Amino acid sequence: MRSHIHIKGVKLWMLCAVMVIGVAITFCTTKITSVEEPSTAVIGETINVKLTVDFTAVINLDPPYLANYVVAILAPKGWKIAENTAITYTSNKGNGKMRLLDPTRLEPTQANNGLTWPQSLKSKFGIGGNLVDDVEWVAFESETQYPFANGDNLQAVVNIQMKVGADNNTTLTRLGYVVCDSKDGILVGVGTTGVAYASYFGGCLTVGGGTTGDVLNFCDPQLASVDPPKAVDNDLLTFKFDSNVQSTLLDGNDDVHLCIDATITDTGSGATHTVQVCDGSEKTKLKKISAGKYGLTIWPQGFFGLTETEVITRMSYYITNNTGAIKVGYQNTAAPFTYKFKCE
Amino acid sequence: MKKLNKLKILAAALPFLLWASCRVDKVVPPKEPIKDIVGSWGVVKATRNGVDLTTTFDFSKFKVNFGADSKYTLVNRVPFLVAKDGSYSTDDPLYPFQITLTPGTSPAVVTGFEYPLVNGKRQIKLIFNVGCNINSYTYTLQKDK
Repeated sequence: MRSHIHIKGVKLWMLCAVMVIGVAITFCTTKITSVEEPSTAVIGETINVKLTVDFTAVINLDPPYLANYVVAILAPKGWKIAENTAITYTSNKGNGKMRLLDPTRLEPTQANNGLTWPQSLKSKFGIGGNLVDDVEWVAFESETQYPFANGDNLQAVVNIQMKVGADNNTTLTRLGYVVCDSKDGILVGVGTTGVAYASYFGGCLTVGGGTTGDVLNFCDPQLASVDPPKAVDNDLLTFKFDSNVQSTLLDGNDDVHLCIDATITDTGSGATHTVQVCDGSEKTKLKKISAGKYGLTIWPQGFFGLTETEVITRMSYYITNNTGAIKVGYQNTAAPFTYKFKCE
Repeated sequence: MKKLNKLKILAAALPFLLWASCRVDKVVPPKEPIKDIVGSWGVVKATRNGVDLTTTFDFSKFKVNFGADSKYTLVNRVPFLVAKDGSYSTDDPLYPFQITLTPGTSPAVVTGFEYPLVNGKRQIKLIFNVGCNINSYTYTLQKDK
């Protein structure tokens, strides 16, 4: 039996090429064309952020599909933006509101690895422009689904209203935004046309007026810091000293130590006392991590030898040389750095 | 004539060969061993919120001793799932997915339990927090020789 299919070599190559290009450009392209966000705010204020989004489905081989628009925001954990954010949008496909995307739902591109939307966003975008890992990704999705078809273009304006500073701390942070659709997620295809999301990381936002006395500065490198920023005295705490941030009296000194005062409360009697560890020993020595950077991880309960009924409420500390004669404090002054134990 | 004899022998052997070829060998699967965690375990890897602390904090003196009497003891304590000695149990001796530690009279603590074989050595992987649930620790324990 003779075949009636005749494909010449050149046509076969052309067919293959078209198929390859088609597969390569299967995904949507998304752009955040402009962002309006404030640079200052005060605790409890509701700030407005406006994202202008250009969302195009390019040569989608499997159209049409229904999907929700997704907007994810990176913000300090203490702001609890999942509870304190309202998002609306206007678009050429329709206007509507957004709701919190279930944080346990798996993100499409990382579903095989079991990563949820917040986990996948953190895995891909980290903590954005922040220097301290006390921020979280929270995803929201449109209440309405829209059909995506080949060549569709969505022009949308997203209005985010976010109440800032729920933890009452004066904070400097860099917010981040990711826009995508719920079916493609944060997919990267082949080439720039195959990227199904857009991201934007903002400038430093200063939220003032905190009454806790703490300043959380995630924007600027700190002379000294403690990781994690929120903890109990049973956590492992890593003290870091970065002598590259500014010149101090400890310049040229590799043998740097912690000098700590801990305020300890007996939960039985309510009595409070202070214990100082400042002996310039191996116990207090910060190990060199890299040029000019030092770190020491301690377990406060063991470090201060607490009894079962004792808890540490706060610590004040200096970075010193091994004799304790040279002391470097908060912002390179004579005042100590402070750390309060709190979990929220 | 010799050729005919050979054929006869072959014909006689054929039924036996057919029977032998069709016989089903009974393969007995190896019995799943009981996951024995009795012994002294030390930390070989520790992370806090994904940050590796293994070399930045001295875990070398810390041991968890799981006894054959279902009791455990902590030696040179560090931040851990529990703070006191007590009793332990797993949800299944053959296929354990959870471990329960009951420190004295305090409430029991249950956590996910992985028991991988790494480089020929059993390890226990535990994920927990030590009082502040935003800080997550993962300890990988390995039994001392």
